[in-house]
Formats: sequence, structure tokens, C-alpha cells
Amino acid sequence: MSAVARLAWRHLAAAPRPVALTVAGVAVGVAVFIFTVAMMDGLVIFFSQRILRISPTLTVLPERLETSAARLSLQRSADHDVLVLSRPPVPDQRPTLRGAPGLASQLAALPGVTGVSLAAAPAGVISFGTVPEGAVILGLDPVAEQRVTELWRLVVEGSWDALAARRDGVILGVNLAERLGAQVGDRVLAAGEGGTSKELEVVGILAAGVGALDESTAIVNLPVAQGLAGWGGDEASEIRLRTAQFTGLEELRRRARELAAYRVDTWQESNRAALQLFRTIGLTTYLLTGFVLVVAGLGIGNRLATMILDKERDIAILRAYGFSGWAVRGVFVLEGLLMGVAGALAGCLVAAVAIAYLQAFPIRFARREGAALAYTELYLANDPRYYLLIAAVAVVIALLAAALAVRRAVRVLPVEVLRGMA
Amino acid sequence: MAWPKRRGGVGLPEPAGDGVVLRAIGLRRRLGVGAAAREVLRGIDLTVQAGEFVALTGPSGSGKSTLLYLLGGLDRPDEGEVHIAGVPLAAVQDDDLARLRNQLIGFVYQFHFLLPEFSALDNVLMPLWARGGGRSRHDRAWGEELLQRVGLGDKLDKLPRQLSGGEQQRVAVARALVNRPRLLLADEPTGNLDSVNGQAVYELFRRLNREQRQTILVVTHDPRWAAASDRVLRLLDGRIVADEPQAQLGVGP
Repeated sequence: MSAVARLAWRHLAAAPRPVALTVAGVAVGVAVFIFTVAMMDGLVIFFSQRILRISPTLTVLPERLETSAARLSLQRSADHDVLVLSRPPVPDQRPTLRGAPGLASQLAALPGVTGVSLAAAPAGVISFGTVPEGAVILGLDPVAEQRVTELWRLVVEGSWDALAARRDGVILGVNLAERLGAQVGDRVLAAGEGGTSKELEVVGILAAGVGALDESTAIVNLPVAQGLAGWGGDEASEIRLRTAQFTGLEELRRRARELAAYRVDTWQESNRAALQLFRTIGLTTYLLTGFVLVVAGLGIGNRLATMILDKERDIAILRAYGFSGWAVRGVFVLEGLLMGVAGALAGCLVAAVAIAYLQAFPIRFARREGAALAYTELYLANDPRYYLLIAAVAVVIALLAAALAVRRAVRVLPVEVLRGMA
Repeated sequence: MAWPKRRGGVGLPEPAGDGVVLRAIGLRRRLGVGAAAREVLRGIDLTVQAGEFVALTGPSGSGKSTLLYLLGGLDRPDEGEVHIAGVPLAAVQDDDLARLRNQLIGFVYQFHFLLPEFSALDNVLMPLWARGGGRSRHDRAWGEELLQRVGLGDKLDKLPRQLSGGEQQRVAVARALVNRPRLLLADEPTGNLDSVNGQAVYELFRRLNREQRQTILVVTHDPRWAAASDRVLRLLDGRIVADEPQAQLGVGP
């Protein structure tokens, strides 16, 4: 062991209690940070999994690629530069995918695609007795949809299968049904924008935990929605795809776009707002939690400053006997490093144990039965990269704190101290 | 073990071997600031030959310790020059000066200044640690031998708090000698010791000078040191007012 290491080690060993407190401070900071990251990433993973239950992984939308490209260019130009357009993009007057069934068959043949369904979602009004409510009338093929999403699992009253069995069936979002006062078995009147109307029987109530679905959606068979909208049988408002993979969808999206010549969104893009919200919450939480580490770093700086003050006489004698300023700096920086590393390791251990325990015995929250997006349990992600990164950050903070504190050590002039002691 | 040959410095001017170990020319030093500032040293000229034992005496406040710190490279003069073994200290940067002190000078202070967390042997080896040594069997044997010479061969592993005041000071003497210094500087080394322990340290210095030809400059109020020395310098108000060989004082060693 070098002289610097020996001196550092003996200094630390000579003051076990304050050193242990300092190390504990770092350990708490590291553990809290790791736990927070595990919790926030767990939240994102948890909700991503839930979103994937009710969302297609790829959605073909009724926006021609040239229109889509122009819109993107306009968005970019708004952010960064000036765009000169020779001709403004003209949006489709009729927002439907034409030839949707044929396109769906072609998309179903793409490798990696495990399910395809068509959806027609015109706006309309659902009336029960004298109560009218605005609604999105979501027309689906109930059988095909079962291979794309798990909406069928979220029917809390009645059944999804009844929708397949009854052409005039409707499944109402739970809040829409409450406002209408309708129950399974009641008959409601659906009216499309064009004035077409159709009487439907409520065959199920859906509770997804997602505002749009629960508040205002009425799921009907695809031909019913097309009829209410006044669309042809080959028109749809979207083609919904399920893929074997949930990430790395770029290549499949590219192929789907080439094939369909329509805009294709991934599930992340379709749920951008929710995912962005999680990221923002996560970032804010990390910043706040990061301060715990900074405070722990200050603890190290404070401990070293006290130690340097206590050891002024020893520093003077070391300098008098030939230790260079760098060697003296090295002693205290090494002490900071040792405390930082010890705290980081202890913090990693505490976090690992806590996360493992809560993964084995998760904290469960009260949940509404069937709600897809309800946060039902404290879901913790666990990734070795958290530990490495946060431990490294803690050690760097410890080193910075030490580097600041040791400036005093090299300002100690041996003669001043020795003269004072004489 | 024989007293080994001294080792040369690294990265410093090679010390001269012309017999002059210490030379001070026109040293002046002011201490304090503002109205409290005063000139402690007012032009000191001094030469010490290899193997000399010099006692520096004078009343309190005469500037003895200040002069010793300047001569040992712990402080820098406002005016004048100090040469140790021919090396002008003014030309040496702080870290190199620390190295030079390590290689050429041994210090013994009025207080022992031992590091409390380290054993007696580790304290003795500390100056060797500063130059990256002190771990070899040879170095440890040398440290043990020094402690034996100061009568502490059975207390190698004792911590300073487990030693008496005299023993602590003897450890400090051993530490000052571990790098085989050209010049041993001591600032009232027995000032804090009782008569028995003071006598032991005094005997040790005398033996070092006589047997090893160790060059020694000691600040003292103790008449025995003057009796043991080759020269007695008397300092008064920042000036050397007497520089007399021992014989002229009429007190034989």
C-alpha cells in the first residue's frame, strides 16, 4: 500500500463514527436514487404494457404519404427554418382508407404481423330514452380485433362474444353507459353524422381505464359503423396491426408504408402524450432525487473539511518531511473516494435488496376490475445499468467534493502551523 | 548495521561536497502585518561546516526559531539567501523544496509532532514514505535500528499515545535521522522533557555528532547543549551578536 493510501486509510479508521455517518449519507442518496429510477422506469414499463393491451402496435391512418410528408415539413419549419411550398397540401376531404379490406389482407402477409383488423370510427350520437350523448361509434370486426388488442378482456358486463353473435349489438364505455343510464339488454338508438340511425342492443359494458374509451365510445360491428357514417364497405378509418415485437418497429413500419402508401404510426407515436408525460415526470423526479446525491456529496466535503482542519498539524509535519502538495491532496481525495465508493456500494446493495423484496412481494393498490390502465401495483424495473450509472455519479460527486475540500489542505503552510505550536 | 552512505537527490541540483553544509547570507525576515509587523531577523550571515555541532542561543523573541525555519527551507526570507549543501533554496519551487528537505535535512521540534494513528516505527519511516520508500525489508530494518539506537527497540509497534513524552521525542529524533540528512536541525528538542528524558536526547545528539559526524544545529536554552557543541551562536534582536567556538567559551565537551 502506498504512503498516500496508508495515510488515507488510517485517517478514516481513526474516526469510524463520523466516517460511517458520511458513508451512510452517500448510501442513502444512492439507494434512493436507484429506487426512484427503478420505480419511474417501472411505471413507464407498466403503463406501456397496459397501453399495448388496448392499442394496436401499428396503425395505418387515412393520410396519404405526400400529405403526411408535407405536414411533417410544416411542423419542422415551424420549429427551425422557413419552408417554401410551391403548393399547399390538400387534406383528404373524406378521412377514410379506401380499399381497406384488400389492403388489410396485404398487410397481414407482412412478416412479423400477427393480427390485422379494420376500424371505422365516425362521430355520432347515442340516445337512450330521452337522453342523447355524443359518442365515437367504433366499428370493429370483433373476431379479428381479438388478435390485435385485448379490448375483449375489458368487458365487465355482458360479453365481447355477444357482439360477434349479434349484428345489432353495441358495447358501451362504462361512463357513457352511466350517463345514458343504459344497461346490458337495453336498446339504444345510434345516429350517424349523415342522419342515418339504427337501433342497437347493449350487449356489454367496457371499462378500460382510458378516458376516451370509457367516456364516449360505443363499439359496434364494422358494417354498422360504416352504414351510420355513410361509408362504403371497403372504407375504414384505420387498419390496426398487431406485431410479434413491440419495439424496433421501424423496418416493419417502413414496409407497411410502402405497401399502403398511407401514414403508419407506431403505438409509441399513438400514445406520445402519455409516454411523454411519464418521461417528464421521470426527469423531474430524477432531478429532485439527484439533489439527495449532491447533499451526500456535500457530506463528504464537510467531513473532509473537518478532517483537514483537525489534521492541520499532521499536514504541516508531512509537508515538512517532504510530502508534496499533490501527495497531501492525494491523501484527502483518496479518503473522499473511499467514502464515496463505500457509500455507493452500500447504496447499491440496499437498493438491490429493497427492489428484489418488492418484486417478490409487490405492494398492490386498490383497482377497478378490468381497468386496463389502472396502476394496480408498485412495479419496479431492475437494470444493472441503474446501479453502475448512479454509483459512478455518486463517486464523481464524492471526488468533486473532495477536490474542493482539499484546496485548504495544500494552503496549510508548515511554518505557520509549527510556529503556532511552538 | 553500519550507518549507510547517504543517497543523492532526484531532480534537484546535486548537493556540493565541499564541506560547507549550510550557508546563510544577509537573511532578513519580517513577521506580522500592519502595525504589528516587526523585523524578526535583521541580516544574518552564517556558515556551518560538515560535522559541526552548532548551538543557537538567545532570549525568547530573539528570532532563533524563525532563523531555524528559514535555514530548514520551511519558510522563505524577505531578503537574503540560504544554501543547503550548495543548493540555493530561493531557486527551488515549493514541491521541490519539500523533496529537498526530505533528502538533506532532518528536523526535531520542541513538540514531537508524531502522527497519532501510526506506530513508532511507521512514524520513523514516514520521511521514507514521502519519497516512495519505507516498505522494503532494508528500510524497515533501518527504522528499527534507529529506534534501537534511541532506546526504543522494544516499542516499535507502540502508538504515540502509548509512549512517554521522552520516548515520543526520541521517536521524533529517529524520524529526523531516517533519511541520513546532511543537516540535523533541532528547535529546543528537550524543551518539553523532564531532566531524565532531556538528558537521554542530549546524549543521543552528542553521540550522533561524535560517532557519525552528523552536522547539527540546535536552538536551545539548555547550557548542556552549548557544552556539547563546537560553536555557540548567540542571537539578540534578530542579529548574531556572538559566534564563538566552544574552546573560547571555555567549556569543553
